[in-house]
Amino acid sequence: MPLRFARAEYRRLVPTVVAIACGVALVCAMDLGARAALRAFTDVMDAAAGRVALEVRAGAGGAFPEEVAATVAAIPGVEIAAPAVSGTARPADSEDELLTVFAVDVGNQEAVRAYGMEVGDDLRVDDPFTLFAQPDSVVLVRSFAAARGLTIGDRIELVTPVGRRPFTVRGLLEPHGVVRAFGGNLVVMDVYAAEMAFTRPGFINRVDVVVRDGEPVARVAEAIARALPRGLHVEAPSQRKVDLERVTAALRVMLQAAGLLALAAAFLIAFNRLTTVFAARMGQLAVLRAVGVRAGVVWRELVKESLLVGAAGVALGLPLGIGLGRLLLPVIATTTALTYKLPPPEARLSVVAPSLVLAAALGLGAALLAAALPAWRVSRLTPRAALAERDVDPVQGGARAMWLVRGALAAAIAAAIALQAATRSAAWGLLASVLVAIGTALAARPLVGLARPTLAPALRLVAGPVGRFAWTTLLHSPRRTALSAATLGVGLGSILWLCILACSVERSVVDAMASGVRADLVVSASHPSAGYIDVPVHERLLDELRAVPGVMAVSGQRMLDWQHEGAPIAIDALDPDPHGDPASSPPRPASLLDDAVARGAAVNVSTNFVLHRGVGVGDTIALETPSGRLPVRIAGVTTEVLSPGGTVQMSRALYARYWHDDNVTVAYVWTRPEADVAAVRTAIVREQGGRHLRILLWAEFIDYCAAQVRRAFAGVRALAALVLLVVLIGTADTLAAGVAERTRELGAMRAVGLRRRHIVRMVLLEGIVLATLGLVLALAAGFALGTLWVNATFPRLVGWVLDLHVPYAQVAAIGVMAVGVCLAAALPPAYRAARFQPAVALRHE
Amino acid sequence: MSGDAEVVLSGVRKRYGTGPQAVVAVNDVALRVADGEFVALTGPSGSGKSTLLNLIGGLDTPDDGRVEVGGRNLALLSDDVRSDLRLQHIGFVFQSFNLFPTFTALENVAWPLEFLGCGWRRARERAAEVLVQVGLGSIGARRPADLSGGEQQRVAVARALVTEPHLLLADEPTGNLDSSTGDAILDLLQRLNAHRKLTIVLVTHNPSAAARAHRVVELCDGRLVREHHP
Repeated sequence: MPLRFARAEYRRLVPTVVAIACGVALVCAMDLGARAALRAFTDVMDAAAGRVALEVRAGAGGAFPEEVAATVAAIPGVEIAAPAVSGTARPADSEDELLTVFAVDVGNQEAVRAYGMEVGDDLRVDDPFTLFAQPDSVVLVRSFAAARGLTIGDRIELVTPVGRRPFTVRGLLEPHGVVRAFGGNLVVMDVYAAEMAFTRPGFINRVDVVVRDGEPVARVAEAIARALPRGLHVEAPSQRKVDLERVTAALRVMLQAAGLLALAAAFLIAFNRLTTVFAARMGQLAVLRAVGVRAGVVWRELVKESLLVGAAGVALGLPLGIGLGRLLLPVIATTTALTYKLPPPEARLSVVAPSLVLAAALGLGAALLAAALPAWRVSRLTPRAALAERDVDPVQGGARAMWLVRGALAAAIAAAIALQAATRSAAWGLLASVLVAIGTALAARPLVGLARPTLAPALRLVAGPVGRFAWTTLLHSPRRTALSAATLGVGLGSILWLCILACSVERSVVDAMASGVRADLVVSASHPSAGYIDVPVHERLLDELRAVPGVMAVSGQRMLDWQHEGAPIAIDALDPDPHGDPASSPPRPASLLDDAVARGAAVNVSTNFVLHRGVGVGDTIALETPSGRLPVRIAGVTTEVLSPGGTVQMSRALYARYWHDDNVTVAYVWTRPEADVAAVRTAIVREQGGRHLRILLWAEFIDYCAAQVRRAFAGVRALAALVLLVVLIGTADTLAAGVAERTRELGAMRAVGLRRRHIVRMVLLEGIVLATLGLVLALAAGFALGTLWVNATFPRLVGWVLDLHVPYAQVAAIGVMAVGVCLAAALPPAYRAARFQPAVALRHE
Repeated sequence: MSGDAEVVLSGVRKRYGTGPQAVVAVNDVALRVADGEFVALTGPSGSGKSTLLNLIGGLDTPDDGRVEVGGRNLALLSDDVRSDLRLQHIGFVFQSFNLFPTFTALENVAWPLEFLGCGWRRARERAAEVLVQVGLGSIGARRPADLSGGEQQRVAVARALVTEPHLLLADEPTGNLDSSTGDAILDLLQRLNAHRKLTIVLVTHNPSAAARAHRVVELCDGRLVREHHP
């Protein structure tokens, strides 16, 4: 029977199928994309690890003496302790490619085997001795070399932290093991040659450890940790994967939340449509009941029918989701890379069962839930009531119960927000978000009632008698009107929520940048296409910049990722006093750090450092450095946004003393008052011909930072488009259902003397009224969710502390789009209604 | 439109469907209704009564023949002009009342006046007057669901009269009413015809209802088979 009913009314059910398909597609795409992005990053880690069970590091790129490798090799249970250097470089002739440099002791066969490579099979070199004897030797991936027409013996220029350097291709790598994970963007060098370009002679930044077979890895790790100098730590590559999974879980939650909101909108459409379909079938159901079919059986058959509809939606939505996932994967991977400052890997979408099962289950669940209540209501009607020809919405009563539910929901939202504040757990914030979405839907019906005194006269004023008809038509089925407004509210509200979040992140980043060091020019070797990857440069760049005509003062800044108490943070080391010509007459810029921090006696920490660790001004923290433990007092709080875990800001002198690192990431340049800033920029480019630098004006630097955030949130547009499609379907469905229900009324209107254009205007006005009601709900939901996430949930989930900023222009644009979408949705039913033959319409049952 | 509401049908045919399934609802009907006349169209179900009424009201157009109302050939008029004709000069009363459930009785009567350019306040005043004329002066604030069948039909008659039409077309107006209520409606129609000289064409299958008219036209299988004066 369900199949017969569904087949007979498939046209009525198509919008429901399509809406569920869109929701399922979005959930599927978000989950597949998040898994694929995570897998791409972890594949790189896995492949790079090879047989390596443990790694010794000093934070992100921190260098330490190569003798540490010998110390580790002496630990019982260690089979291989391979010194390594890793970094990034760029081909001198390309702005868009970033190469991962992987430097091992090529002359040590055991070290090479630790990465799953064999010289000869995977690594073809003409002369291994030359490879490690000549410091300009590099090994390229065969596909990368072939693309550039390079072979063994050819030269290639790479831009490294010490500048542009020529290298000779001494070997070619086959795409196995570690190479495969990096695609073609991998350069292998000898570790000693890499020290000269990426750290300094005698200093490495990693020791890779292979544990002897049979030895417990944990015990060996403990032994290594005891033997290491302070500031170095040992971890398993799998632990880094766990860390990555933890930090990417936050992004995955956000993506899934967006997908679920779209599915919630689809649920509302399905609920609305199924209620109408079941109500229209009351006569048939009454016959069933009159014949003797039990109410429970009727309910089950109706629910089975909805499952068929859900199954059709799932069947359509899953392939759509896979396609959408492929489209969105580059955006998701970029967002992950930008957010967590990782090199974007080559990500491929794999269709995995858990994602499909999740999306399918949610789609079927939405269909089931959407049908349960309407089916229960119509199955409970007595045959007499169902057979009576009454133009009454069968869904009546329960108004008092609904107010109780609304009250309970409001209390639950307040409780969840309070619990989030008290426990600092993002889970309560997520729960509050779900409850806000439900509350938005439940607020629609009272809103329709509240709007009546305002909208009715407004419509009459604007549109005359047609306006009166539009409003009373919507009031004819307040349930359907409320559900349509709810669909719009939830859908548009989710778009507004994401826009507010993106704007707040962007403005917070810009404000943090603007409140920090402010110079005339910002010089760095950061690679723009990698977004946020910092490529350090030796500090002699600062002296070179000071020598450029027109430069008054220069200050260097080193930024890197570090670990503190087992969690990632960022270090921001700044030259407090911009150095310039001591004899210069114009005053140099004031000190960039307050006295205690400038002297190295204290540090500043960021607002999210304070949030996550519960420390404050006056407290002392102990940093583990390559030179040992460094206890420092907190002197102030900054708004820096370098790391989700927080930032510690110190003087660069203190940093260099403890981290043995004389590189800088950024150089700030102040020009003389009489100098032309653009001319100074040109002069710097000319003076630094051998090293490609990015030199930005201050305003350009701010724009660049904002652009990276916009890239990270680029996916919002794709989500918004899909949500608007769901909204379009829902609104069109409501208006079409309303026209179908009122066929005879429309016939009567035409019989009395209304023209076709009156009918068209009436239906279009109904669309505008729905858009207005939906926008009111969307504004409330969007602002509520945006405020909740900016102030509480996002900092707990992702780690960043934000200020609330509302993109009013975007909000207005969304409003205009919503009205446009609703008008577009109203056009087909409007013209259909206008084309009714009055005589035929009057006979409609 | 000229002051009279004369209705002239000549050689009117109306067919629904195509091919072997086609049904000839009205077959070569010629009929004249004089200004101020009360004519009843009777016949069994499927005889073409309602189709003929729809053709007279411009709700449908004939496949052949002419339908003239007030001297105007409806087939030559655009849909908008036919709509204006109905709004200004023709009133319709339906068997199933076709009142708007979310409007009050007063609003149901008043709304056609708004489309004639009358302000809403004036429209309501006029509607109240018409409701009094049909004997429903006190129910203006009630909704159709709160009215009896007879009261609803009176409201429908009031709606048809509020624009002061020259021609009233009533399609089985007593079909859903009990006999005494139906009689009351028919009494109303008779009074309107007698006092206002309102031209009325009434479709009914009830001989006693038809007997109220000046002339009864009998249809069968789409053809006019008999005319007589009751």
